[in-house]
Amino acid sequence: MESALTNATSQTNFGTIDWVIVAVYLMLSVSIAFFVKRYAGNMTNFVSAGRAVGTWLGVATLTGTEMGLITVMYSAQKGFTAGFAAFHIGVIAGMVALLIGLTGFIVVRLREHEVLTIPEYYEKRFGRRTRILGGIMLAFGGLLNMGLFLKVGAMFIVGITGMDPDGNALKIVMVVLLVLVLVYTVIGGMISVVITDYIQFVILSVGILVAGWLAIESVGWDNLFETVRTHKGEAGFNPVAAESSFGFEYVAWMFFLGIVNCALWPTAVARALAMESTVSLKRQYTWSSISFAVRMIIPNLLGVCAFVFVMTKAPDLQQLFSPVDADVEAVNNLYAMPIFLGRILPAGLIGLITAAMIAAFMSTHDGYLLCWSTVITQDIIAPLFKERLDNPTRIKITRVLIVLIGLYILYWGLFYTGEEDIWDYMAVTGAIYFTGAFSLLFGGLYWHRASSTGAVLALLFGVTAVFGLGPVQQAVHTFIPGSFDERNITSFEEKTIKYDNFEEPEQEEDSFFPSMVMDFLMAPFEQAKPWNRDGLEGWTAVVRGQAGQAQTVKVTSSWEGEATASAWPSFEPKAGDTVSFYKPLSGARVGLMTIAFTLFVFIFGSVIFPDRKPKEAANE
Amino acid sequence: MSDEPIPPTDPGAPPILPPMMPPPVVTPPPRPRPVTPAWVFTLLKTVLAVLVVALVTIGVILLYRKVGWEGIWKVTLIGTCGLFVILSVLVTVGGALDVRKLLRRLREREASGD
Repeated sequence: MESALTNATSQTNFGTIDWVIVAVYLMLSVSIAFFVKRYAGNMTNFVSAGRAVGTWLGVATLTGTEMGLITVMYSAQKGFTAGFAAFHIGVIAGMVALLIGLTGFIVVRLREHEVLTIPEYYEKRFGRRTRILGGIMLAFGGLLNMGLFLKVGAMFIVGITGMDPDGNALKIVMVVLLVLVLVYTVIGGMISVVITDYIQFVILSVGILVAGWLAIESVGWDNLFETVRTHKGEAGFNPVAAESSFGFEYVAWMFFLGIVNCALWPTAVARALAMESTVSLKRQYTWSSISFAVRMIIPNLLGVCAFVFVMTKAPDLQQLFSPVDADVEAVNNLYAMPIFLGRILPAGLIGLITAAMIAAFMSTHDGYLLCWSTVITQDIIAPLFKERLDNPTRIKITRVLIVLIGLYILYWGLFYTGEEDIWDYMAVTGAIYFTGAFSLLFGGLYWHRASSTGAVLALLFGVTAVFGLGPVQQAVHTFIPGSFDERNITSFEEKTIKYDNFEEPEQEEDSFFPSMVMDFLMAPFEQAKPWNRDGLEGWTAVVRGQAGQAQTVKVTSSWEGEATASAWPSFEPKAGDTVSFYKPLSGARVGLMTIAFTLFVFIFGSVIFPDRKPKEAANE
Repeated sequence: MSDEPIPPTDPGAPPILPPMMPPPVVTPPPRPRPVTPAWVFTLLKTVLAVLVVALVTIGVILLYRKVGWEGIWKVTLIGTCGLFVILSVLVTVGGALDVRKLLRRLREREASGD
């Protein structure tokens, strides 16, 4: 299968002229960093471009940062797997950005405080310990969140240029991209970031619109909708259809993520804090609402077009991404969109599109690297030194941190093995920070009685969002309510394991109130009835071998004492091994539960433990 | 006390100027308290924003009843791409002017040693 992937990527139209276009663009980006280096001498200039960014430049830099190659890739993946129904994510994001632009919700008040980072506001409102803790949570969630950016970006480059994905090409591309971004972020700070973001916006907007147009032309407008209807049915259009992979819970989660992306996510807020005035800031968000929608919708469209292309025009790719034989493992569908573009775009144009995508990659990375390194310097290290660090030292530390974070994302990209969609991975890791941050910013800016104890509790409980990650759930699956403990496997035949029978427990009479409370608390957790036919269908079985090795598979059918999976990829279970079952919680559900939980502890902590001396007025 | 310079005893010495009176401290009059508190405007803007979104939502629902999800996504795609084209032109032109302004400000700050 691996050689089939190599064969698929090698059929690209990417040629020498395209390499030249990409090289020229990269040299231009790096030379800008050297040009503006002399202005990056103090921390305000380095981090906030001297708070002198105008409205249109603000829109360009906000779009440049938020429409990264990672966005294009994960949105295309969503379009590939869910069809047009994925458009709802972009529509909600645009509507929420428009609301924030019109009302100035959170961002205007934050800008009025003239802080450089969000944790700096925490200190003003809740005290130093909250700032340091907030900085740690922010850095932890943020670094996990950007952990896969480099790998996914490199996958795009490999897929579209026709390099060999089975060799070392992916690793080499990761290193080259990383070095390029590090050079111009370390040297120029926010000023070079803002100016390169502008150039990147220009190239990106042309590139993505042309790519969308050509993608539709290659598969045909009518065929596009017809194929999705045939293969995905109602779920390909309706995000809340019964068989949809989304549902109401997911849509609600996307609404909250819309607020997060605009008003809580530090890279977006950093752009807001760099604006010359609050009027410019509101205009920036109002106009950027279009970008917030388009950054998802056009890549979704590219993914849908790739799906239609695979299903109707490229039988070799269909075997790759959607094999008929259940024993054959499908190739990572992140490769679908770049391979599709590599085949439909003509030479010359493909170089421009690749340059646009690398532009998107770099504009996101520079913003993120600068943001997280600044948070660690300003909000963790500097407060620990009781603000005795001078400006040159802070800039030096920030630059060292940028390099260290770069090395970390290289490491994480190579070793993380989670299987969720990239968008869902990012939502969950981001939630570690933003579930707590929402309470602190919303409460701090709009509620006088918000206290530092409530703030600390909310930040700490935000960490529970980490349970939305697949590998973490697997590690603690026996503690998830409704899961089944390990039981011994007695035999294995034809993809079916047999184990000690499940027996239906006898109903116990509970009094009304405790029963109602238990039902309420257990509502988010599914309860299986494994003694019924197919009672465990769709659940995850964790089989542990006697040597300690483990594998997880999805149960396709079950009965009292047996469960069947379509394949056992790692090893064949045998008598004496053990099996346990759990139902994975979706990232959306864990995220929504975490928000409710952090808000509760924030309000509870603030009411029970109010601050002795009131901090500054919340809405001065 | 006259404002005339005191004649020097030494004819070669410069005239001694009378001591300067500090300018009188004028306290600015307190800013008049606005008749309508700021939160009223915030509330009005919020209501306006919610109304805009509500109207869009109603429009989408009406569209859905007429053309279904497929039609909604067709309109969404064409509409957002059209708006993005306009935005791209505005940002390309306006952003270039903003970059020039940003560099000028930074140069001025550098020259003034700020």
